[in-house]
Amino acid sequence: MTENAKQAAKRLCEGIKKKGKDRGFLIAFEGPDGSGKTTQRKLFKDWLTGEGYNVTTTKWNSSKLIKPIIKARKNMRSINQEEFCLLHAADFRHRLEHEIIPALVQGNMVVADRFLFTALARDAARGLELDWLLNIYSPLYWPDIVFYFSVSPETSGKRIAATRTPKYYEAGQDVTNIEDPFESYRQFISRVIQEYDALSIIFKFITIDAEAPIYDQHLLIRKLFLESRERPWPEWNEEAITDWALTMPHAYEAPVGS
Amino acid sequence: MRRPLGLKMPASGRLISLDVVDGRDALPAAKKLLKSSSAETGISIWDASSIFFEMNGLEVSDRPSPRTIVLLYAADLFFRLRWEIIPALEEGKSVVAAPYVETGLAFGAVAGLPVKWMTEVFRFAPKAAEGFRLNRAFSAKLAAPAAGFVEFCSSTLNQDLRPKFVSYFDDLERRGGCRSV
Repeated sequence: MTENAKQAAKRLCEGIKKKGKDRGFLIAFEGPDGSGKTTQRKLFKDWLTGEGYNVTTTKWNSSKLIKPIIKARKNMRSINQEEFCLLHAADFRHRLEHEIIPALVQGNMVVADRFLFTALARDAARGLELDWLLNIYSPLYWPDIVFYFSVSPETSGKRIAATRTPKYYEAGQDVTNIEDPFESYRQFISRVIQEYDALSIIFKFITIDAEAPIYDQHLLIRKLFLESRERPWPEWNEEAITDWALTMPHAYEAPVGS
Repeated sequence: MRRPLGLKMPASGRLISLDVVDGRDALPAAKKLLKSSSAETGISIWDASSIFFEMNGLEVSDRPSPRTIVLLYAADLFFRLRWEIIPALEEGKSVVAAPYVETGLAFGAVAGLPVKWMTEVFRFAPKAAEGFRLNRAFSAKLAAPAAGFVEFCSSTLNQDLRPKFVSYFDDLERRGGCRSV
């Protein structure tokens, strides 16, 4: 790590900070399956675009490089909890470095349909230690806002069952060892929701009642977003930005846009 | 219910780690190392899970960063432990893991990743009973990325990393962390 690279990374962070409310924001939509977060994410993205923002959307487990590898192994049901975690962490890191941070540096609004809390909740529900998980995902990049779509396990189960049979890993059958995917899902999602609820307290999520009418939720999200625009850039993200700038070729030469 | 991280190490068998710089040397060097063993033997080599092989086949322009590579290496190592190393140890075999944890740590050091992060990533891996490194001059030409982990990393980061790996293993040997074969 050269002194020049360190200095350049520092300048990049200062550039982001200086932009104030005109900087790129990272807004994460979190919650269990069937909580309606994708619907809300789409409505919010359309609204942001209508308001004139440049919007980048990122979805869970979607990198072109690692998604096919995960998909093949999920189809074969060949990965255990630790491998599941490490492969998803690799996918996340790749998207963070190639999609999310570059978009934020350019001043875009980044709307994340699931973020690292999905991994923390699911992997912790699979029995892995939270400390190990937090290290795997380090250096952490914290969103400006996390909207947590809260539903009961019963509602999540009903909404999923109305459309499809839960898949093997989605139903947590790798850890419950229950043959019936619906019953496995019911048990597994209860654990996931418990973990989410704990994370929502630790990391101060904004909880949205995901059983309220869809448009009411959307209006609330807009209002909360506008109120949050004055928030300063979370300085603990400096480590993640610096790490990105130092390990990605030419990243630290990126101009900070708005 | 939280469970301990990693896999339960069987009381039987013997795990030996072997680090090489030229990937093509892994198998012959492991065989040589096991030649004098009186017990039944087994060998586990890099990318048994085929994660890296499959990634090489994808036409994606964005290359993985060092951190991403480490996470993928750890996923492959976990796979090898679960399907190759631990079952062979349970059968009482002497198993050479070529490469093992130290190669991952070497890459982290070469790429400038924090030691604390690296050590914690690999916390799941049981300690080998003995550690070796193949101490010989590497070939003049860097082999293709599929030949071994060092070649893969060199190709991805666009520089021949073999001299840096050699320095790391030299230092490790000086500190008593491994022996030469």
